[in-house]
Amino acid sequence: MLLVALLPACDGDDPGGLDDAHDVVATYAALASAGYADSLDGAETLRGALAAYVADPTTETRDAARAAWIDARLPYRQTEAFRFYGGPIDDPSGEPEGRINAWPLDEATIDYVEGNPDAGAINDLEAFPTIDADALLTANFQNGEADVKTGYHAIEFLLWGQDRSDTGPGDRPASDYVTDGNGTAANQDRRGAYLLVAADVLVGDLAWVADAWEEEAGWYREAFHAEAPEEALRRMLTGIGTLAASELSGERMLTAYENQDQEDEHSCFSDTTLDDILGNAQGIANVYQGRYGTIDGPGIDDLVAARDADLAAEMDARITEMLDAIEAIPGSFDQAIRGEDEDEGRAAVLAAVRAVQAVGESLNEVAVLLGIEIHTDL
Amino acid sequence: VKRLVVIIAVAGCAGEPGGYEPGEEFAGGDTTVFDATGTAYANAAANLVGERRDGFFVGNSIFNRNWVVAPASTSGVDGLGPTFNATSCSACHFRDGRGRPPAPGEPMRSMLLRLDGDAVYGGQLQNASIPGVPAEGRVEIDWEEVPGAYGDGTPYSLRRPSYRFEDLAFGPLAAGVRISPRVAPATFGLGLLEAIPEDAIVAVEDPDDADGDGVSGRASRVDGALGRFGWSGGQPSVRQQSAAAFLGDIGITSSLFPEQNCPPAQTACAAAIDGGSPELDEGKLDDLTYYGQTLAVPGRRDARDPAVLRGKARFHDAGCASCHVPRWETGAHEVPEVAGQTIWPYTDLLLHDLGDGEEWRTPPLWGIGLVEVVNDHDLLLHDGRARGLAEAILWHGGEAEAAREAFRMMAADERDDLLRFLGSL
Repeated sequence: MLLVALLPACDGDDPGGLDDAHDVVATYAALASAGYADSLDGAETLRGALAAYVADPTTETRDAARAAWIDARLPYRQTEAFRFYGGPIDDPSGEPEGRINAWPLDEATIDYVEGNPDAGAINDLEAFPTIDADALLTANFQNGEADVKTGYHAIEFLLWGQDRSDTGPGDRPASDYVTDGNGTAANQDRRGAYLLVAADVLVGDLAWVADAWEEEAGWYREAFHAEAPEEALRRMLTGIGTLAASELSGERMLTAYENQDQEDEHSCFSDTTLDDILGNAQGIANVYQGRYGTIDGPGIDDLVAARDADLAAEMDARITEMLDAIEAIPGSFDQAIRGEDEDEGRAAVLAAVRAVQAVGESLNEVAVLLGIEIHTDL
Repeated sequence: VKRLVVIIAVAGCAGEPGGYEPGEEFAGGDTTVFDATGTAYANAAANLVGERRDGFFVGNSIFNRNWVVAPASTSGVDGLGPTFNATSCSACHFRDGRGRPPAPGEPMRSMLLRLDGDAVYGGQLQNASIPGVPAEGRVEIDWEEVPGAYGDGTPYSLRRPSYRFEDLAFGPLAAGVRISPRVAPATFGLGLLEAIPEDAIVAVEDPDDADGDGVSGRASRVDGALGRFGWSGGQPSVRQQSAAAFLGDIGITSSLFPEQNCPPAQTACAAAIDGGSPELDEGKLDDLTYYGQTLAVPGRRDARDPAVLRGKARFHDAGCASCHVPRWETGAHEVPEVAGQTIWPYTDLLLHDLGDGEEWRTPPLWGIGLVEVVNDHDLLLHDGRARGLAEAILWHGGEAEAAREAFRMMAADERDDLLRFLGSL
């Protein structure tokens, strides 16, 4: 959607009109910094849990590793509000976002799949004589964006396995990592090595993004502060506006609702997609309100409240409605989208889509109010 | 010159073909979106509102979605290949825009080569494949600079490509095979082009150049239907164009093209696991079609600028508008948003001989001034040989030779004006 800003007729004594935006921009940078720092912490904890699992693969260590993966996703999915304007996470040089979070994932290029026990890099000793970071990163994206061998969803696949189940998540046994001769599937040692290398790469990529936003010396944060408030706000609103109007409501929710493809969902191996959706929405709320964790600073909401009380009230109500509507979706997302339109799950998903779209529409109105032109189509 | 063109030029411009015409900024009629940024080609039609946008969003998702190797958990988007050129539509039509030939050392990503006359490799060279299946081969491009000069003595240089095949999996190509390289074209405004009444297009045909002006547009016929889409007008509808690209470029079967693209000699290809029959279900093809039909045309910039208007007059004087017909009225269409619109695509949708031995459909010029903003390059023509608008004009030959010569003989400021005009489209 595009709304061309109606440039306010600036009168002489108020040439900029966004003098109160500096603190809002500073809050945003603090949110990004904290969000990526928490994501990095989560990934490091996950790496420890994966090491424990590979060293002693039991159902208990596997479940602990799965729990660590779920915890690690919690802060990350909120940081997706910082995407879609060419910031560090979307930096064209390093492609960190694709390496960190690409989906859907070409699982058959990583490990065995139904009907093909020899599939994937783990079982391909010829093309991948050693499993190390170099080998995986060189192979990334060779055959397009889904041919990704690193990131959260690669680790998810190696923890849960293929999800060919009609109802539950994937069910990869811990014995896939047992190396004493009693393991399941082939190349258990290489599978364990792969898991640890993928964790190292994830930690490294998140550290790179977190460094860019770091409070003292982050290169991007410094440049971001130096921008005119109009430009900084354009990026902020483009990020959350695109997430609300297109990526979350369209790509991640409406498409699944329309196609009813089970597993055409963000975290398909673990069936935790609903948490991803809620986390994305929370990320939008965080940025708009200037809140995350212990941070509570001036947000975009304060800029709106100072200019248009009606729009401020509408935004607040729509943010609450968005979060409530997503929380009202029953069960797992891939189950909720199935069945008839009248069914509780599908009705709830569609209501949530409309609630997220409404936030996207209001954010476009906020941009107009602030005299900023944004584009929120992908 | 074809009759309708004359009528439009006279009626529309009141005897002054370069003058400003009311509404000409709205290149896509009511669908037009004024966005001159990197998302200029990616917007939903301005008149597509409310729940009418749902199909656009879903189609957009399918356009961006990466297909994966079967069998995958994500069973709705598995079945990639076995051989392919890309894993998603957007990989080539980046930001709904235009592909380009690779820079030296880069793999070929957003263009491909059609083949004519090789039973082993089939009609298109697929340079990638799923594990366990050989890719057909790859292509390297060698460029040769060809010097030339404008009428005023200013020199220029054009670059001519030649193609080298490497790593061919099944031995050399057949002797005498014809190759036709093509970059991915932009994908917006397709519903509007589909909605131009067939009889209006056929009315400007002049296959035998009966009027003797050297321009002989011919309608492309595909099983009796008018071919409107593709570099050589090979597809009659957005739906068929989309399904053909899905099969040829990504290796995804559909109701229109249900057979995997594995020529008989390619046994590993034929033996590979597929992603269902067909791999693209009908609802997804519907949504993707709707998406292409409802992508907005970007509005023009600076349409009243004096230099732009001078350039517009040069465009008409030189005869460019004989084929790049400026204005059309759309008729009825299943998508009401594109019906009954006055549009400015600058094409006749007919095939013309430009002197290189192939017939090309006149490509629309709308949005061409934004290629660089959207796609970060200014490489034009079917194979991306032209570095910018001037070189693209200078490569025109055959039926367009007189128009090219008119441009070549213009004074430098007249050429600049013409390029300003094209840049405003």
